[in-house]
Amino acid sequence: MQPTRREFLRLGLGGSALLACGATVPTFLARSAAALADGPARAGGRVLVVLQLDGGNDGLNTVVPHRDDVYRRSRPRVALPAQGLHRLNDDLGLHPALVGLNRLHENRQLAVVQSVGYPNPNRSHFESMAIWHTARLRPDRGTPGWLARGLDQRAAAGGDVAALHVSEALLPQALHGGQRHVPSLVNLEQFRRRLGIPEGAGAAQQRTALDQLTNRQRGEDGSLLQFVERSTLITYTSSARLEEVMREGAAAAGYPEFYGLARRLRLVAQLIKAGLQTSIYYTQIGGFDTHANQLNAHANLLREVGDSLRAFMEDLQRAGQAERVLVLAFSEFGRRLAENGSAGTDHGTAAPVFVMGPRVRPGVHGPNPNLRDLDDGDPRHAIDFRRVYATLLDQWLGGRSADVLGGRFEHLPVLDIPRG
Amino acid sequence: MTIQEGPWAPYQPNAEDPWDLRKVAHLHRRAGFSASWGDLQRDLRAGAAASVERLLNPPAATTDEQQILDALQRGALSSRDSERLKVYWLYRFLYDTDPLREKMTLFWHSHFATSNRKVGSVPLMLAQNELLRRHALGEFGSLLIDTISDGAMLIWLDGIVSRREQPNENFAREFLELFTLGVGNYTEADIRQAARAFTGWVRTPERGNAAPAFRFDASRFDDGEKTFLGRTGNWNAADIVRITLEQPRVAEFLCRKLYRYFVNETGEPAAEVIAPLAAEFRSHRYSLRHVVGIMLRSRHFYAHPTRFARIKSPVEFSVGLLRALEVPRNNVRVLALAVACDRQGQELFYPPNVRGWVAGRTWINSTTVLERGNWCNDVIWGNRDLGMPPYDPAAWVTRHRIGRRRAVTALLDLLLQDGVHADDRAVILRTGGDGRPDNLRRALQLIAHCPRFQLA
Repeated sequence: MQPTRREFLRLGLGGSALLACGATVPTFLARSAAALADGPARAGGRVLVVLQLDGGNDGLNTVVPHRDDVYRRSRPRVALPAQGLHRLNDDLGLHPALVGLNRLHENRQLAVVQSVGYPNPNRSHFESMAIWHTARLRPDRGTPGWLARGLDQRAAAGGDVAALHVSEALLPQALHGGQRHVPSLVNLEQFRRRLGIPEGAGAAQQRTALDQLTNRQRGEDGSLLQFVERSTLITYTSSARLEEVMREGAAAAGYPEFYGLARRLRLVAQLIKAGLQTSIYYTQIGGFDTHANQLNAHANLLREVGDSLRAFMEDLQRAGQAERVLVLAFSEFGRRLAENGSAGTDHGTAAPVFVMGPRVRPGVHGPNPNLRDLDDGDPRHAIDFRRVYATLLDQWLGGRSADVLGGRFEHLPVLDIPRG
Repeated sequence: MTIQEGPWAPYQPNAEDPWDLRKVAHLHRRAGFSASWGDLQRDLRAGAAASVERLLNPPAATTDEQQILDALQRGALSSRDSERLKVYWLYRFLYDTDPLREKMTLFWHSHFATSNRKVGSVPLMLAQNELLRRHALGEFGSLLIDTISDGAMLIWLDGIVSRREQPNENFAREFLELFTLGVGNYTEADIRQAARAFTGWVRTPERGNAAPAFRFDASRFDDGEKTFLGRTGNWNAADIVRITLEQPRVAEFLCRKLYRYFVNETGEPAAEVIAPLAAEFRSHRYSLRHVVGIMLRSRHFYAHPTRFARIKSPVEFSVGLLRALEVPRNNVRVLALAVACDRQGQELFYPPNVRGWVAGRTWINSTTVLERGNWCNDVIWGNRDLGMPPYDPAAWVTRHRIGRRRAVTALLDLLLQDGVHADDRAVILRTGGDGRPDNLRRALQLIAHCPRFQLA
């Protein structure tokens, strides 16, 4: 957390409190103390936002190979016409409802990785999702998640929580099984200090007295007390900063608020803008299991996804925070090439994955789905999903992907990170 | 050198190092979940030896208490709701007359970490909880034997899918790595051989809504010859336990964990400190009561560096506040307490993974610090949404016949003793000095927000 000078003074925490902490203060705190003359919070570390599309998103109708007549022949009712698609390249276009994603594409912030999957595809929701969550081909319910393992590689610093699950759903296995507690939250209330003090005489005095208790850094170097004191200091300044962001709430305009995903992403943006040092945010949107009457339902979902993501990236851009954020959107599998008898599609296999943000190498990566060389009626995967994970873990999050993934996976050229 | 000499020499009260309130409170924070004013005063008068003895051999629960516990247990069982299971155990933490046993049960819950996320059965988790409680201060060997056939454990570590033709190594691996010896003290071959000896358990078909049940089927058991930790024979599970317990490393492994849990979790304990304790453990049939007793009676335990050398776990923190303040039972919202512990990172019956809760500094991050603070504020000032009424400090003052103007001093003594810096103490005393209820609540809130209050 990079508290501002204003926050310190308001909390009765003078710069001297931190400087008095001495040489062993964690670097970011020391930088804060020295930089108290600065205004807004400095950008912190990198952030990965993971968006899980629940149910099996139909990749072929999302990134549409509109010139391939096998596509058209296999889907007499469900195939999308070439008109209306948002052009990615000569062969591919985005679903018409993905106006928002197309905007990201125009801003060079969209990387599409095609034909992503894994060997021996599993068409069970639960089992395939577990594979994506654990980066293991035969996981069980106790296998730790890939993000949980990634986070365990970092030392516990007592600062902001390392990952946040922004959803009412159960904590996904991806975040589970590591040493870290990953909280789930649905609103900023959970970051509010419920001081409980009745309003009236002495309330402000009590608030100040509470904050000042933290100001006194009394613990000896390296002691547990010092650890608790510093962690508490970080907590209260984070919370104070969030209160300000919440008051500035009106600035988070431009979100299609009727979409649940937009509200969740707006919350994530608020936390990023508040300077929380959390590096992983995880959220989800359900409904992609379109077995029947797919066209309308799928269009609505994709509209929600595209418009919410666009609002999110624009919000971050305005706040100068976009450069530190990447978004990964994935689903547990794609859907079958051939439509079924109910104007829908059944569980499939490989599908595209999306990586978004200013730091991507934009455009389409990986081969188009080969609709002629099928495996049990569906396109084979060309890119193992663990390569996507390896790229993000190593290049974006500074981890050691081989330990997390249980093996080395070749990176994909989807990121464009300047040196230094 | 006997255990009476050396690092575990017993504490002997004397003029330079008297038995005082600080030591009493420290004992109760470590051996239990904090104590009320009455219990602190009682044990202050009773002296060190009697206080420890009372924890190791407490009076039996009254019939009324037992009936309440039974009712809560039945409630959890019949509802099949894991929240009720949490309520049942939290109630025990709050009101059980055997706090040391509950503290050890919690220790074992993290040691044999089994999560209902995979087990998916309230009756099985309850049965495991009772098993851990029964053996909490008993002999480690008996506890080990019983966990092998425990239903929740069989599901959790795949014992139930392990067959002679294809033994599953999950339980055998964790048995050696996490439960007894620790990494590096056995080979992969030992795991495979142990896995063979653990086969034979099958699930009996359930009827309707009945809880899963298990039995030993000799036809599924691999009775062949096995070589385990250098010993060869037609070993069964009991033999594996026996041979494992012959390894000196087991005692050290466990004593290190117990040391971190009861004495000091900052840094690694020196070998000279662990070795004599481990030797006692081995020579007394791996009796937990024996080694815990040695620790709780020792001068080392009461020494200054040992005090406030642990971070309170969420259960210790959240339950401890309610116990110390003697919040009336009618005002305690145990479900809110369960949510608080969950949000602070310790969800009972749902440890994060097979390693249990890492504890120590990992309890603290900006979310959990907020949750801890919010819990204190909810308890002190009340929380209408959770149905929690505000705490009544006047009632506490009256019950213990403490003068109004001495109330804040007494609250400081109750909760932190001398662990507050003089300047902070002055602010707290000024805040609640007139003894009026709202000012006492403010003082209490300041005390609970002292960073040291996070430490045990």
